[in-house]
Amino acid sequence: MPSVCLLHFRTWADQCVAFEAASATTHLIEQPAGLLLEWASSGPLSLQQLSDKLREVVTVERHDETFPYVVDTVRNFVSLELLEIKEATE
Amino acid sequence: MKLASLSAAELAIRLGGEGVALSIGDFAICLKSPLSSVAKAVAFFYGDYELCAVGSFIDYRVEVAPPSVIRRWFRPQVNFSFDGLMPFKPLPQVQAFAMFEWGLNWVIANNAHQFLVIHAAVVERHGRALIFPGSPGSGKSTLCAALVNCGWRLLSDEMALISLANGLVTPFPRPVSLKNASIDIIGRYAEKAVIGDVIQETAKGSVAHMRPPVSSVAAGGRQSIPSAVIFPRWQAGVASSLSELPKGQTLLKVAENSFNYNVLGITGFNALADTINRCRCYAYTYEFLDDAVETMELVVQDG
Repeated sequence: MPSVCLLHFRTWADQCVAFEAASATTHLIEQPAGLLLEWASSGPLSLQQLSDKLREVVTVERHDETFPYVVDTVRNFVSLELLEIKEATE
Repeated sequence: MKLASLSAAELAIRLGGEGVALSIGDFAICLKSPLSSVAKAVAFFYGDYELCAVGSFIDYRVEVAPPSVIRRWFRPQVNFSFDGLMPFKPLPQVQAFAMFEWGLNWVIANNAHQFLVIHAAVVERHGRALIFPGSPGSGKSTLCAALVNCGWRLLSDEMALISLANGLVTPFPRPVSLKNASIDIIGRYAEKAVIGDVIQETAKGSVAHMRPPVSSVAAGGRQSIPSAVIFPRWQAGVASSLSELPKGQTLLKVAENSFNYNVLGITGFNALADTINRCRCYAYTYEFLDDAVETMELVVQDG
């Protein structure tokens, strides 16, 4: 389950900006990656849940079209230390 | 009471004594200097500014003075000090007034944290402010000077002060700093522009200041609504070109041009994001000032 450090967001049509309060760093993120980060910041979500939300927004039916993108994007955010993966407790 | 109401002798005595307190935009600045060249330049450029009432609160006290009595005979120098601190190395005394201008920029950029301070020129037309962020040499001061000479209101040629309280641009109208080729370009473009002596061989090359319009100085207490953020770039041999920038990208570019964005933390981020939200954002390349002025008229009319 991704969880997130303290981030503040501003979202525009094709871009999103995230401000990381702890380091005062500003990140420019293209959409829909910005949406994923914003959703994850609003509360812990599983990769599956993130993929489902993304599917609704981009209106695709097949889970396997969005899930690999979500995994790759989350992996990038983890490497940037914007997200960390936690195992589900139950 | 305006500074111009002081006689030259009275001004020199005050500058060399308790200092002269000027109302510049939102700030009360007290300047001390024993140098006659500074007194002459202050009279020339700041004659239309109001003097602060005796006993009123002074935001910043600055001094431009020689380092020592002895040094005056050997390549005379000048120091800038602020509240007793000397943030810069001394400069040749011929650069004394320019050092006051640069020093005052430094003081505001490093201390006026009630604003998000962006390195940018700001002008206004029809109540709408255009913000021109840019690094030195981008042509922002030249464009700013041209617009001001076409009747636009000068808010600043050096820094956009975004109020953290209400998001409006607070004016800080002062002499426009022209460098190198821009001095002659503006001299030719605007015959009525009042440009002071050219100071040669500064760290920025040749520098001259243009007196701000009386109307801009008088309106120094009136904030303005940010309407557009435009990154200007002068380039020879190109057609005038205005292209829209994505807002996220603009936010990052403006943040890079801010003096205190990182100091302000989340407050600065919110102030900048709100500003970007209410503005249209462009990159603008131009060669000729006539084209640039015409384009900016269209931008501001589009609202």
